[in-house]
Amino acid sequence: MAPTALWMLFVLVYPVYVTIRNSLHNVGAGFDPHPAFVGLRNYAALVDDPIFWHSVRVTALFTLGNLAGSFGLGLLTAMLLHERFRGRALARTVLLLPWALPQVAAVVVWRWLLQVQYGAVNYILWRAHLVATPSIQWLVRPNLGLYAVLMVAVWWQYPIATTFLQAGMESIPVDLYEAAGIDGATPWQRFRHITWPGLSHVRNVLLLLLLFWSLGQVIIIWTMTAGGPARATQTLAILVYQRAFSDFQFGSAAALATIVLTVALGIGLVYYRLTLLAPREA
Amino acid sequence: MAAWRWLRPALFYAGTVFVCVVVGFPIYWMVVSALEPGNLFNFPPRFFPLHPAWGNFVHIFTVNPLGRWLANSLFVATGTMICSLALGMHAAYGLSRFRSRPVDGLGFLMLVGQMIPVTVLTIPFYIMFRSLHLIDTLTGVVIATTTFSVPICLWMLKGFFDGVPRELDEAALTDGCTRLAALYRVILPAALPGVVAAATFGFMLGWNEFFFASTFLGTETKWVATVGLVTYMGQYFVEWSALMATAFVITIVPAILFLATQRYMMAGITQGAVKA
Repeated sequence: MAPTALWMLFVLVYPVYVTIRNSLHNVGAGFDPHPAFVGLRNYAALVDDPIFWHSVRVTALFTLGNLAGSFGLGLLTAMLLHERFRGRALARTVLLLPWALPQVAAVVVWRWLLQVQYGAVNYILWRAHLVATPSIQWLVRPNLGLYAVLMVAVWWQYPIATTFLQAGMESIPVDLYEAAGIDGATPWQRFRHITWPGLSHVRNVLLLLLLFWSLGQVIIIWTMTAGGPARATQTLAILVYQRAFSDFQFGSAAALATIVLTVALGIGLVYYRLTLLAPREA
Repeated sequence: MAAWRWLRPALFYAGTVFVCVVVGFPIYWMVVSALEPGNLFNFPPRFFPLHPAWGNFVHIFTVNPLGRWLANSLFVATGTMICSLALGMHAAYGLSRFRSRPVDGLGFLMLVGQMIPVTVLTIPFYIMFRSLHLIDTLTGVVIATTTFSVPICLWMLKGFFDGVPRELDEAALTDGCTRLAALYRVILPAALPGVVAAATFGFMLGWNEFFFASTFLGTETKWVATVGLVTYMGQYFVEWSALMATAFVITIVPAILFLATQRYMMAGITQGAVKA
């Protein structure tokens, strides 16, 4: 245990310490070994920066969308896979496969699917008479960029939700459903009074994980749009990277990073207190 | 009522097939596009390849050092897997057997590592690796990636170790095994599904790694496949069929691993969430 603890000190605790230290200094591109101490000035500059607040909003939208989409699609597919039917193993493989793709491969495929002139998505939507024109600029129009990125992020991530929820459904005793059947419960009543409460613990763990993964989703956003078009997908995690490696404002980036860490830790702690520690219904 | 008896399964199947087609289409499209020769600029798009050909798969290895990139990815993925297993299993065993704090608290600590966006850690690692001469090395990428892989592997393994009866440890100890020998010879074999799951997860995390690699690796021959693919996409926006072929080649390794170990992976990821 000791070696692992030491290792995690090196790869987790020390980097976090470096981040907090840098956030209080004026660190530029030169990596001056003794940067000037600026106190909380990096933070003050962020609070006055409209880009920062825009980013907060984008982060909230993306996180909520990704969370709700992954959970919803996960619940739907978990319920499908919970049934016993012919071809279930095949359906299960197809439904879980997106998660097996490297995220960058998923992005490359989706950029081709969403391509303006020759993309399959535009063609299908147009032929189904859902849109008026076969050339929607998914990754160019600021009002569509976030949806496009969300679509890919949800597609890639929801199989995790499926897995958790299905495992949770398997652990609900079958006799509860049998009793409900005898009492003549409707499918909705069975879901509402047996499945949903039976999933409570799994759901709490899953939602927390999805929350963190959504906050931390950067590969898909970065390789799809790099925060664009017109900052439409510039989440805080993306802004941190741009501040550091495009603007070379490492101090400002560190301050942003510290804010992200604090918020995530705060949400995590509150959520943990409220749900995972709460006494479970017997 | 009689109609409902066959209508219900029919509706169920129709719904299932619809969901599967929608979800599976992008992967089908990747394969079909990779097999099409030419630039794919057809309208309407061809949903079934007219002249499937392997040409793209040869082409992509000549325009890019893709073989080299794949070898580098293999190094990073294997390195991440070994490090996270080695570091994860001892800690997981310790946490599983010598528990002194509430399990929920430890579970939460494991989650803390999951909540840090990778971009946040890229900067301190960049600064640290500059002084340690680990910039532009694959080893640096492996080290940075373990931040995320060790906690997950630990969490998975602990769940599986918890399922191994303590009587096995005690039997091994009375037979004269040390604690470590008991772990290697008795507990690990008994928790083999967990080891498989954690190893696969570590490998896939290393294979998918992008941000550390794209930030730290400057030399083109040191790139990993994910970085190569994204750079290729940025350079040649029109070579879609070659891009699809590259994406397909990069997907093959983790996809096969995932399919082969699916059962263990699924059990591994949900360990603790269901039981705890």
